[in-house]
Amino acid sequence: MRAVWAMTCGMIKELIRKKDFYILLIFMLVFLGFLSCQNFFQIEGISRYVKDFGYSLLMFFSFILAVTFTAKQLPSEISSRTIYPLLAKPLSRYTVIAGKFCGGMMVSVISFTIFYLIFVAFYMTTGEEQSPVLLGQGYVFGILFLCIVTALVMFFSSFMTMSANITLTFLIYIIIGGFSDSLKGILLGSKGLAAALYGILYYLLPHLEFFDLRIRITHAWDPLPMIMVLYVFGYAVIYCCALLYSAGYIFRRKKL
Amino acid sequence: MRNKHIFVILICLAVSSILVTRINLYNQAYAADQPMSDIPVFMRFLGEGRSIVSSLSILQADRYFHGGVGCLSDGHEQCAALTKGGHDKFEHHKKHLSPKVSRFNILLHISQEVSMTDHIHLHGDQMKEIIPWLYYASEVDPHNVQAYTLTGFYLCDRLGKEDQAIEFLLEGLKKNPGSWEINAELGRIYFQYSKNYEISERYLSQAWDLLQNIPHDKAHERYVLSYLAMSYEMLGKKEDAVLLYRHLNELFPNKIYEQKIKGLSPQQIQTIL
Repeated sequence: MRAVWAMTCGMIKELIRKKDFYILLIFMLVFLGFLSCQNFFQIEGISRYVKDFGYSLLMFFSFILAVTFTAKQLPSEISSRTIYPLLAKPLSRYTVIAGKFCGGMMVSVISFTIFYLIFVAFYMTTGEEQSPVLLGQGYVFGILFLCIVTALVMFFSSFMTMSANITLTFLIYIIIGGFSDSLKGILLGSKGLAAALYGILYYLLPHLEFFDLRIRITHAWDPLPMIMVLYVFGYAVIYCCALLYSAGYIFRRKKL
Repeated sequence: MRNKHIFVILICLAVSSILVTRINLYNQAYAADQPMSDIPVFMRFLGEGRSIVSSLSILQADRYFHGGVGCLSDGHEQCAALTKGGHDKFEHHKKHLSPKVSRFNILLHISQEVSMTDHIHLHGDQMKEIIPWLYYASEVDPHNVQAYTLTGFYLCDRLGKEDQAIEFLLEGLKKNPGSWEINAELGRIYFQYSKNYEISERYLSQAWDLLQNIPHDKAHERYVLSYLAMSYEMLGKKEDAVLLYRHLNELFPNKIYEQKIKGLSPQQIQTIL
């Protein structure tokens, strides 16, 4: 546990030291500030598009940080050969995977929390009715989303190079974001063997769209029922455990 | 040495960036009458993709109109609900129909429960939320006439901003002088809201002239001519109004048009005939 904490602290220090986070933070502030100052035909109180852009930006920036920070952990340890003293501590390979996952997770959650606070500050300035429950759900779902993304990147880094890992994760993010409804439609419309194959694909792919509360938050829809929150939470935990176990298994068999 | 390479690359990028804003194959080939000067420089980088981005912006406005939910295939005959008028005529399902999924098919069940299915419309003051998307649609592609007419309609009819609507439409007309749609919209607003029938007659006549030079359907003709006929009526030009009502009655036989024609005095009808 101490080893996992040490690795996590190392990654948090890296987040503070590197400029990536600050650049994204400044960009988000400038962009949201610019959007808030826009005046359309002297109509006051137009806010939904600011919320829309704000939520999309915070999720995307958190995703970028989660992917880039986590993806370089294992490959850099291997290429700089610092993985050997780490394994000689002795630490099991599963512990290394868990440590790197926790580090990536913490980095993502810290940056996401700061982005989210800025978003909430802009959100509060709008005149529309605000639901604290929905905002709370948005925060929890954001963390669950980053949890899955970090686990996915850890899984890919156990057998892929850093650049391939980042490319594939971004591709999955784009495909799921853009085509999950189409995939669902194909699955529901197919029968027999095709339905089974699409079903397998549907269950294997990470459903990042479950965690996207952008429309609910932007357009002031009702919060999700508690049972659905629990379902999504359960899905995220099970999917992460499966990915991390697979990552550990592959990494254990890997020749270093 | 390395700096030299970077310098050369930067120079090449700068030159190509300047060139790319000057090149517009579509405009040169098909739309030479549409000047590029009214398009912001950074928008010119999008090239012909501008019209796609502009259309997407209008679609986004449509999504906003439906509370962020896209138009699904549920027998919703008119997807572009934002388009003026027609939408309210269609009866809506309260929810978009989605196939029933077993509770044991847990992921599909979550997916259906998490996504919004209610069919709602913005109303009252909430209508203002679609304005940024319509505004951006016209900014990205100043030749997207629909962006101007929709903005004009929502500003004037839904948000009561008549002056801003007219100003915006006039700006659109300056960029698209050959657009019958913008002329017709201006004419309608001057007729319906400003009650300035002389100006409405001028714009609607212009719209009618432009419309006759292009292929169009009967509904467009009715839209322009009915306002033009009413403008004539208000200006006391009964003869001109009757001619248009006769034409409208041929297009869409209607008791209202017949009554309008009969409503004139026998002397006026004699003069016309």
